Amino acid sequence: MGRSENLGNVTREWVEAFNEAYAGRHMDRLASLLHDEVHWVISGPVDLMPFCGERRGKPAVLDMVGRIAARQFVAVSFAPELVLIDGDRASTLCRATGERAMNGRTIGWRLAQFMRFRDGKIIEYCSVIDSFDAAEQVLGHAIELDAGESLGQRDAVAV
Amino acid sequence: MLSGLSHEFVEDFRKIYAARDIAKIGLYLHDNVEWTISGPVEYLRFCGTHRGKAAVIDLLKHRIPTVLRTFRFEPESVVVDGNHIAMLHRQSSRRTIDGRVANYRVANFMQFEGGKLIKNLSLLDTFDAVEQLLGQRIQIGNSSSESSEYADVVAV
Repeated sequence: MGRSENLGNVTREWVEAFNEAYAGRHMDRLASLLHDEVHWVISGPVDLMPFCGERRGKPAVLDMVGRIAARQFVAVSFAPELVLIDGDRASTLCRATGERAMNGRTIGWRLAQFMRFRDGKIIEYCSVIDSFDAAEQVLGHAIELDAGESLGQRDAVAV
Repeated sequence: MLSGLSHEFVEDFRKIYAARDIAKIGLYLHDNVEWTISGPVEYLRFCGTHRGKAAVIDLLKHRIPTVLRTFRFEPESVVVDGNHIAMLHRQSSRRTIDGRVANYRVANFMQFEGGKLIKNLSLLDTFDAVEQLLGQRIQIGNSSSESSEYADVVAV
């Protein structure tokens, strides 16, 4: 981690522009906001959601957004709930919705995004979602695990 | 950045939270704190929304350790803006019943009021966490139809 000495550069407008370009797949605009050496991580099951995983460099990120993610979702939108700015870092909590390319079904998830900027461009990006829920929505049904498996006491009360 | 939480205050709190020092965490909790962990309640029984200081302390002190015990909580990003904090950590935990280790990222969005934590939302890669804690891949019933969409895609 570590806070950069280059404080005060990120603006809310940059973050909003990024969200619009990323969700809307405005590729030229998105390219202008990414650093050439961007490190990009989306936490989630790569087998089921191939846009998840780790990518390095602008071409790999643009390929993910413009080709790989587009094959799964024909349209995506982000509705920000929180936008936090702190020096060269930003974080957003968004309600994301996506229309599945396969069947037109719309699914929704909460998206945590963490970004670090250098020279006005994103050099680090990491997003986290409740991927179990997202996977169930992508599949269109609940994931049933072996009843013999337990990750907690069976007498615990769910909340 | 709006006036609000100082980075020193946030780092003090973050270290206490990372150490899971429940007594000290309690000093930061608002009486009406709302603590939500997004995830499958049927498999990670501590997920859900917990309201009130007593419920949150019970969650941190008893309910989560019943399932797993965190032994590493390394920060990757901390963003402070006004009375809000966004934190990204790499968390390592052991399943309580057998010590099996799981590593995953956790995002926390926290809101403070009068210097006390009034709201937390935790998001984590729950699919990965459940797989690691089970010690096996989750078998997806119709994954073949999903994966066939991406036959030429190489996972990274």
